[in-house]
Amino acid sequence: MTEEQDNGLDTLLMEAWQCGVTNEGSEQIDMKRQIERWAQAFDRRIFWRNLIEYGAGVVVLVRSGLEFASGERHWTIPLTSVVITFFILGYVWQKHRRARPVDPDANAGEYRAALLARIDDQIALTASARYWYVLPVWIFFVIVFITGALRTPNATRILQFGVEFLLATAFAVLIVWLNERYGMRGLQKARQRVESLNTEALNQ
Amino acid sequence: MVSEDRIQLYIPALRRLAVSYTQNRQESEDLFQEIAVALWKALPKFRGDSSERTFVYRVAHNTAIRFVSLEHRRSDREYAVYENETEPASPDNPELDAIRNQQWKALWRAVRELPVIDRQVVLLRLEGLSMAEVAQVTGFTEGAVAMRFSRVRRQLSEKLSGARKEER
Repeated sequence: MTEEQDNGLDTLLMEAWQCGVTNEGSEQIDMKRQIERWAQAFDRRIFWRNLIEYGAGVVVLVRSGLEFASGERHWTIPLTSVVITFFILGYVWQKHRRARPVDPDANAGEYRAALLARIDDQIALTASARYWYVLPVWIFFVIVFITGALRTPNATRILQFGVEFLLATAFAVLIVWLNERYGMRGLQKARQRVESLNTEALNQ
Repeated sequence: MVSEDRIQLYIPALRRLAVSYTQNRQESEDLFQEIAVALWKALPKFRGDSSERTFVYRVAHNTAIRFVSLEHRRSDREYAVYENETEPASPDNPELDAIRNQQWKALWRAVRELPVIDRQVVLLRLEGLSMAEVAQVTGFTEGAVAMRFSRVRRQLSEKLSGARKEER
C-alpha cells in the first residue's frame, strides 16, 4: 500500500469511527453539571468509606475509655483494647499516607508501572494482615479470657478459658484463610492483567 | 488551560472510548462516569505541559486501563447484550443513520477484538490524534506507534472487507 492509500484508508476509518454514537451520546443534558454531581457522589463515597474504616476504631477507643473510667472490667482489658486499636489504626493510616501516587496524566507506560507498584503495595498489606490485624485482635481476646480465668480461678472457669481460646484461635485462622483465599486472589488477578499489558506493550 | 466547559467537547469521543473497553451498557456507563470524574479531578493539576487533547486522552485511557484491570469482569454473554442494544443516534435520517451504524458496529467489533495495547493506539488514531500525540499518550516512540498502527490498520481493513462480503 502506498502512503497515499494508507492516508485515504485512515480517513475512511476515522470518519466511520467518529460518526459512531450510542444511545447515550444523543442525550441533551448539561454534562458539566452531571459530571460535577458524579464527582460529588465520588467524594461522598470516599468520605463514608474513611468514616467507617476509622470510625469503628474511634468507637472502640471511646468504649474502652468509658470502661476504664467506670472500672466495670479489669483495667488490663480496656488498656489492651486501646493499645491494639491505636496500633491497627496507626498502621493503616501510615500505609495509606505512604501509598505511592498514581498520576492519571502520566503516559500509559508510566501509568501501568505505577499501577503495578500500587497493586504490589496492596498485596503486601493484605498478605501481612495476619500480623498487623488478626494477631493483635487474637492477643486481645486471649488477654480477656486469661483475665477472666484469673479473677475466678476454678476448674469450670479454666475449662471455659480453654474453649474460648480454641474458638478465638479457630476464628483467627478462618479470617487469615478467607483473606488469603479471596482478598489476595482478586489482587493477584489484577496484577496479572497489568503484567500482561506490559508484556503486550513490549511485543511489537 | 482546559476548563470544565471544554470537557463537553470530548464527551462523544469519551463515550466511544468507554464502549470500546467494556462489554455492556452498564459497564460502559460506569467507565464513562469514572473517566469524567477522573478528568474533573485532574483538571486543576493541568499545567499545559502537553496539549489539551493529549491530557484528556491520557487521563481517559489510564482510567480505562485501571477499570479493566481492577474492576472489570469479562463475559461473552454480556458482550452480545451490548451489541444488540446499540442503536442509531438520531431519528432525523434513519436510513443514513442505519448505514453509518452498521459501519460503526463492524469497526467497533474489529477494534474490540484487538489486544488492549493495540486498541489504545488505534482508538487514539481514530479520534484524529497525530502519531506524535499518540506517542505522548502511550509512552511509545513515534516509530513504534507508526509500526503498530500500520500492522493493525491492515488487520482492521481485512476484517472490515470480510464483514462487507458477509453482508452481501
